[in-house]
Amino acid sequence: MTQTPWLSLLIFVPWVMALGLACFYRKDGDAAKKAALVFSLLPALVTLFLVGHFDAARAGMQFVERHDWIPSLAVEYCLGLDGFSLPLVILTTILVPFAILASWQEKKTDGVFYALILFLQGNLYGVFTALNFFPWFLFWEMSLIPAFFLIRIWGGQGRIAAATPFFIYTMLGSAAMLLSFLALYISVGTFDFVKLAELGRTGVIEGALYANLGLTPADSNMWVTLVFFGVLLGVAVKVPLFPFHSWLPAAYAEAPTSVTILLTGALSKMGVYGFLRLLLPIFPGVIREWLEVLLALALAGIIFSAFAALFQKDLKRMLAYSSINHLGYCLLGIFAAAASTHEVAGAATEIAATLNGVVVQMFSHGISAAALFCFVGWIETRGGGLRGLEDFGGLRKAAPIFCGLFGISAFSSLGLPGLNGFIGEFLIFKGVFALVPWAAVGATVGLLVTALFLLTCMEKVFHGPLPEKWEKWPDLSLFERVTMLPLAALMFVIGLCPQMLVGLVNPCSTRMAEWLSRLWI
Amino acid sequence: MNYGDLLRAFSAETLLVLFAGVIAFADGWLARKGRAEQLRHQIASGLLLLACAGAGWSLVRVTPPCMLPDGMIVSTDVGIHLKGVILVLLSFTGLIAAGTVRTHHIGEFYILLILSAIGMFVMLSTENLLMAFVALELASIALYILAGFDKKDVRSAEAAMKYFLFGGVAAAFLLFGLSLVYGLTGSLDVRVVGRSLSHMPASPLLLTATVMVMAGFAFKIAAAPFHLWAPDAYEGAPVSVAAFVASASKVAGFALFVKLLTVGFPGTFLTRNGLWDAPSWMSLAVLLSVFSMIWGNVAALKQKSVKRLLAYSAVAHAGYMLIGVLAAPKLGSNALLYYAVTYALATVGAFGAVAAVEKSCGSDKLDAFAGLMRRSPFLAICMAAFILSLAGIPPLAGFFGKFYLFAAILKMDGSSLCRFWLAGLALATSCVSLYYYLQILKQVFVVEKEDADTIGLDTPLRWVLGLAAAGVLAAGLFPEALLRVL
Amino acid sequence: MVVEVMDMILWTLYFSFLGAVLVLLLPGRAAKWAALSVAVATLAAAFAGASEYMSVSAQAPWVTLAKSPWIPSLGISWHLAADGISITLVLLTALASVAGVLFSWNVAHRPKEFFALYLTLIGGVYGVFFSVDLFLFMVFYEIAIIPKYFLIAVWGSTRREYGAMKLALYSFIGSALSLAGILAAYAVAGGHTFDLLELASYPFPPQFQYWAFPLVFVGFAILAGMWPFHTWAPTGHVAAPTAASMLLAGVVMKLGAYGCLRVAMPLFPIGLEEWSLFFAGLGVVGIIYGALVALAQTDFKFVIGYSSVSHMGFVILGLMTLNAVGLQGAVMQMFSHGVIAGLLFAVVGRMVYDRTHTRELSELGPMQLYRSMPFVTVVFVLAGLASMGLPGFSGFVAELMIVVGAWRGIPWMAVMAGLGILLAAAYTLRVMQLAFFGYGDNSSENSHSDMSKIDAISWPEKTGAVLLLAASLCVGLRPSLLLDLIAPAMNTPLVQVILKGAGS
Repeated sequence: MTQTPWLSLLIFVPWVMALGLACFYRKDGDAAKKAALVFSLLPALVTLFLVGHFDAARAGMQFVERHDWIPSLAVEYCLGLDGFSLPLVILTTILVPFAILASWQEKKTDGVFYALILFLQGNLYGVFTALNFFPWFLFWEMSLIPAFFLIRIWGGQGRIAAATPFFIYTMLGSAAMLLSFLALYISVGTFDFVKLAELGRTGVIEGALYANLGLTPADSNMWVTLVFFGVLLGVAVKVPLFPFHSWLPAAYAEAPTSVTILLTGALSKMGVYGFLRLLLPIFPGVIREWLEVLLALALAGIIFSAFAALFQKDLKRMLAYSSINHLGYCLLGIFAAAASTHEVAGAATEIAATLNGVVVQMFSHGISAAALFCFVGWIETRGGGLRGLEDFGGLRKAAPIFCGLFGISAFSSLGLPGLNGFIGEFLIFKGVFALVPWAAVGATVGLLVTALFLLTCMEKVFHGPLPEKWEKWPDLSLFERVTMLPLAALMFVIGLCPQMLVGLVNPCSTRMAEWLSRLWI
Repeated sequence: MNYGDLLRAFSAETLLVLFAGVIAFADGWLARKGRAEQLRHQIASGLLLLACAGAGWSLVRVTPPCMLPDGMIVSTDVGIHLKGVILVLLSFTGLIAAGTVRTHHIGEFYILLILSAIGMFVMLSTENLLMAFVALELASIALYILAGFDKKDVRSAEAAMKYFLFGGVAAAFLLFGLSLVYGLTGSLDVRVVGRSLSHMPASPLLLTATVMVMAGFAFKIAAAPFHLWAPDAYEGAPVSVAAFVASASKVAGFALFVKLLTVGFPGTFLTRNGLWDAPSWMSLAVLLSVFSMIWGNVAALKQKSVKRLLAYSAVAHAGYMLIGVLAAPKLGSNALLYYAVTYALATVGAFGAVAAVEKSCGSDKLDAFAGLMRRSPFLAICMAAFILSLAGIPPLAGFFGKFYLFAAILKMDGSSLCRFWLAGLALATSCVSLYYYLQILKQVFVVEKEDADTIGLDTPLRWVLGLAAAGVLAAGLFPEALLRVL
Repeated sequence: MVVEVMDMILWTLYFSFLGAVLVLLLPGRAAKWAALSVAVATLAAAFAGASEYMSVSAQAPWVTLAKSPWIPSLGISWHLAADGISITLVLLTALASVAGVLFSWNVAHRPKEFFALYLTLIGGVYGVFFSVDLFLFMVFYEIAIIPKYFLIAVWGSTRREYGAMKLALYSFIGSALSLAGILAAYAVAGGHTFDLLELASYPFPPQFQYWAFPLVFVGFAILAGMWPFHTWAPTGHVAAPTAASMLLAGVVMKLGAYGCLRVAMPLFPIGLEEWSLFFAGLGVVGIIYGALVALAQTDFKFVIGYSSVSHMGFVILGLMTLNAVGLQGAVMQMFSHGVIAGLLFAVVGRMVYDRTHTRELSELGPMQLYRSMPFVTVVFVLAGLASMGLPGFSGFVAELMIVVGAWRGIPWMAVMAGLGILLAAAYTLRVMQLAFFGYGDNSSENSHSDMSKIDAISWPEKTGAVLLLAASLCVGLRPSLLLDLIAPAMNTPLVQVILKGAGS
């Protein structure tokens, strides 16, 4: 534990910067943009420090900060970092400046826009590092606000129809989650994630819930199930898990590019992180009990969204569905990790692999989806607002570099070996196949269709005859190349030496796998 | 007891009579000199004030405790304090009258006021049925004449006529009832009557007597359904007279009746195992109270004339005060008298304000009060104090009055009288009353009037309003001071 | 134990009434400055008192401020005391009154009377919060009614006379009900004292409590806006001028809730237990009903008005949980709602309505106010977020504690309350969008130029808004600021009666 509150710094620096932007650069969008870029890079320094000092061999929480907040409610201000959260912190650090760069040409933006983005950044760090439900929920909800306004004010034509469902869905989930955690709190008297996980592992929670809420013995199971589904609803909406996904395509499609990047790259990870941090450790028993249902939902998400993407005519909506699809693998992995393992040889290893895969998949989906949405944004700017699949063709001839980099991102997204997407999916499939074979088999359908629609997209946009009106299609400018280069590089780096990332996660995964595999109901 | 003592005992009354004579001479002389009416008013009202001051002084200084045979005169501390209250109200009325009464017979006006007050004095100090009746009539007859004093206004004549007719009938009822009582008990002394009646089995005769007395009583205090004279009399009579009728005669009337009923009719039962296990006059009083509270408050809702509104509110207040009468046998008449006195103060003030407005606009309709705040802030604020006190809003006296009344009735034990329901009804109707009181205040404060001419107040009226308002406030803030003397 | 220094806080009461007189004596131009200085002085006194209380609360959670006989023949005394609950509400009142003056800075019509009535109202409110003697309590309670009537009837807007009269009558009916119950309790307890502490320790027969409790409780709850007695609230709020609706929602509704907590509940613990589920149900219905109706309004101010009903439903629910967390939550919610609703009404009434002269959402929408009034928009958005119970603001902590309390006793109601939180998000979001962001495209250049003529937001408005927002944020981020005040109050006899009654 360090004396310097690095994690708090990570959260508060963007907040302060956001406040500064809102106050001093409200009118001047151009200056605000530059300032925002610089400001958004400040947390990178902190992140670098954290990465440098992170003890990858340790499974527990590091850089822990703990202060009393509301003692009478056992609420603490508690932050910490472990192998599950560090990759997401890194991802956030990368994506925010990238998002700002991606919409550099945007004219409508002003200081408030960038202030909201920075505010969102601070909250994202908060969600990924908070270890007590109260601050966690605070960050969780506060990340919703800037996202909502970013869509609502700066979104496209359908922004109203997009922003409101987004907000209401998320609030619905949040309210349910809040109630569930309050039920947990009054049963076991703590909001602390680590303690709750401990209690979940030892099976205390069920009994406590029954003792505090249940009226008849038959209630015992009902309450824990209800509480579980409350939390599930909260995080499932964010990811989203089928069938809570219907807000997503519209929101992703209508949001301005930079916001879509953050939505898909970072905000959706909040949901997956919630599964990993809350549901899996606290309610492994319930997940196991409802395993088939949950897996079926995840599978449904994977398959339906893949098909839905296949039939989209709008590039942004297509990518939105592909996001649901990719995050479906994460959920599949998480659910499978709680499967009953007494028949599986070396279950712990498999579970660990799955969990590693989940984290890697989150990270790499963040990178590749961000890149793809960024490209779509550029296509939209160049095409004068058009982004239909059928509106383009043969752009490869006019803009080869554009096409090449887009291709890399697309292949990364569909999981080509050598690129980052492959690692995550491979690890997940490997684990899930051993744990719950039928689910893995089902999910492969999704893999195939993903390949299909991404390739179709490549073909329709970049191949074939070049329409006359696109002959002047400009290739990537130097600025854009520089913007995209780090991401493209990362795709290769992770694809080629996954150990860099997996190494950070593995101790945590292994430890969780240890006790998940020993969990016996 | 020799005549000297007797004179001393009656020094206040004697002084008042003397001053009445002085006023008659002085005013007659001025009239013959053809002096301006205003001057005559000033002289007369000045003499009235002097009379009040003198009488007050003699009450404090001279009057010894005295007890005449047959309860003819029984002077008590409470009685003396109430006489003081009557004097205050009398002087207020005189001051209001000085600026507002239009008549050539100025001296007579003040003399009659004084005579009426003397009647009330005797009402307050007698415990004899005959004496009580005579005093009541003395007070009433003077008031009948006063009610018709505005000879230019036909409504005044109507008021006097109605007041007189109803009052006469009431007197007949009362006299009939009292004579039956006398026949039953063979005594006029209230205490003796009470002792004999409490041993007497229920009989139709006694019942008739009780009903008759109560009916007469109800007429006098304008309790529903015997209140029909009140609205017309209040509206038609000169405002100062209405003020006196509503205030002083009510205080004296209630003081008299509560004495008669609690002492004289302690235990006459309607039926031994009847609906209410309480003295029969009580069940009648409950009915009167319920009728008055409901009728008075509901009828007041629709009034456009402030005087009529105050008349109906007087009916309602009579209902509340009847609750005090009900509580009196067990807990003393303290609550009732506090209520009556503070009510009288507020009413006299309210009528004073009405007088001022009427003098300036020639109307007492609600909309004549529009924009009063702009036209005369002092008047408006005083009016607010009176009206809010009538409505029972703290910290004014009306609130504590009601509070005390309701507490008193609830404190009576036993399931008799449906005390919870009675208190509940009283609270409910006082909510209703807030509506029409606020209607007045709405005109005063809320409504803006375009052609707002300011209302000038002459100094006496200003003093009356100011003192009455201060009194209402002080009685509300320090009720203990008043309670101690009642 | 009488702590001398605590007298400080009584100055809130004296300042207000003296201030009312002072304002009347000064020339009209000085009225607002006088009112502001009085309000600031009360705020200072309230803070001083709160900090004094903090230092003694551990030993003496119940601090007697003054006690001397007043009307001994009825057992009425001038008995003032404070505990954490009342001090919290005093702080709220002080904050709301300062903000209210700031948001009434533009009152040019009869300013003297306005501020005099305003300060009288405030004074009555303080009086209620300090009163231990029930007579005194009712005196102050009713003193607060009449200024409300005039504030609305004279300075109000839409259907002001109707709204004012309805409010006055409802308040009066409520206080009459409570008064009836209190008088009955006085009579049953032997009729020699109105002192709450003594009456609360009197064992009233259960049969009596069964009907006396609902009488007194409903009487107070009418002013707290409990469903189905809430109908005065929206019309009253809508009709009222900004400062009055701020006080109505911010403070006056708390009077009712405070009456429930301080008088009805400790006096009749057995009746309370009997009825708690019923009233908790009414609270929940209020939460849901208020929110649903708010969702359907077309008038901006009505939305806020009904949201108050919904939020006060939480207070009722919190009170009826009968456990310490729930009660603390209820008090927190009173504070929080007071601050937030005050701010929302200020935005609607002062900042928006005074400039656009409409409150119809359909007319506000096309104006795209977020372009012309960025400050107002930000304030409203923040206040709206606070109102929907977003973490970081005071409303969240309060609702959280109430729901925790409800989970303990009546779990299904907690779930319904959660639904209420969701609905709050829905209507706040709806009104936020309709009023500030509008529908349609950005082709509203015309309306934009129209709106450029509107007055800039003045410094008093900014100060007031920042003050209230800061209060909500401070409490939201550091709830212990208030909880340290409220928690000791759970050990006072009056609260212990409630908690113990529930335990047995």
